[in-house]
Amino acid sequence: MPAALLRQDPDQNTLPPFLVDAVVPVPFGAHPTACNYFYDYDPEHLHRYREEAEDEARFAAYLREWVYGLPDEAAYREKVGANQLQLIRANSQVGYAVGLDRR
Amino acid sequence: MSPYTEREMMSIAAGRLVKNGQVLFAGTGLSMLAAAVAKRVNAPDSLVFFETGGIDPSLDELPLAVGDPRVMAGTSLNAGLVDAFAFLANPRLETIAFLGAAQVDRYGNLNTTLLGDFQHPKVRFAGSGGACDAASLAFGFIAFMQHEKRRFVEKLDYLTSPGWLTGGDSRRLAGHARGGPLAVVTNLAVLKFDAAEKFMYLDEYYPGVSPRQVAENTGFPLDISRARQAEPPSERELTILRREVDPERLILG
Repeated sequence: MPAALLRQDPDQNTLPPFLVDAVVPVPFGAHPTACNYFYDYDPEHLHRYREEAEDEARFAAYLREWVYGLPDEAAYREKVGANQLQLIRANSQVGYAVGLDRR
Repeated sequence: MSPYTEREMMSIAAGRLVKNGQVLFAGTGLSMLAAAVAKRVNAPDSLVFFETGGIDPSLDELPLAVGDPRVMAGTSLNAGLVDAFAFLANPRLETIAFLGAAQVDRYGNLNTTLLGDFQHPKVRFAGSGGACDAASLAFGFIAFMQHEKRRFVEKLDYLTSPGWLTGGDSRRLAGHARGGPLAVVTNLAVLKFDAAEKFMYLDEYYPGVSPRQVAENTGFPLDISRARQAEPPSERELTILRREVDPERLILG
């Protein structure tokens, strides 16, 4: 995105330039948490995270599996799976995945 | 009268404390349920807002965290954290904050920081979050507590959020222009604060609970002389809570 575009409607901006080093598009980059109007949180993954974070050894295993053991974001998305990502895609009217099973 | 759970009674008891038109600063969990029930039963003109900035969301689905997109859906305005706390402090509004804590003392001061010695805590909690700000700036706050002796203590291990401090007019003298705890809602009872001296007293005990039982689970001497039994949840309150507010029982369990 050219910088000039940002200056056409500065009322829509919330960050000043001196706080920004780069803009990097990362689809589903906030997973397993949500990005309003793009995708919801992933309840299944968050439940799992909560359980595994209770124990040091299991948390270390979680980090190996989901963070350190993956080369990049594309590999992470692939591991989560296209079906799961489709499930949490946000409804464009309300900003979250309507009726998502969150139990 | 149909049977009901502890969490249902707590949500409904807290919701009843809300006066119509008050502006509710909710977290998630029970406070969310209390605010949603109040809005549908006794405070139709009240609205709910969140520290993350969502003002008056539609709440078609229950948010499970203040960062939940459901906090931002159907709102009148998505402001930010700083704005949210400014609204909380707005002197034109009767803002009511809902807070939880690990410990509370007889003046409604709250500890959400640690148990044990400050340098070598036995347990470290998340800390204030927005709780100290809410307890300081809101028109008043309502605390949710599990009613246990180790939680209702003579002296807090750490003072995170100011209640009535040391009672009387100590809160005002400390520089707080307004605010203070209005009530503590527990799994046994609703407790309020003496108008002049600001110590906690038993206001209502739930059906099936005795005033003595409440006092026995409180770690400081509790005035039970003004206590009366709470009305059990009405069919209408229960139906609204179960069918409209939390049909999936995400928070009710």
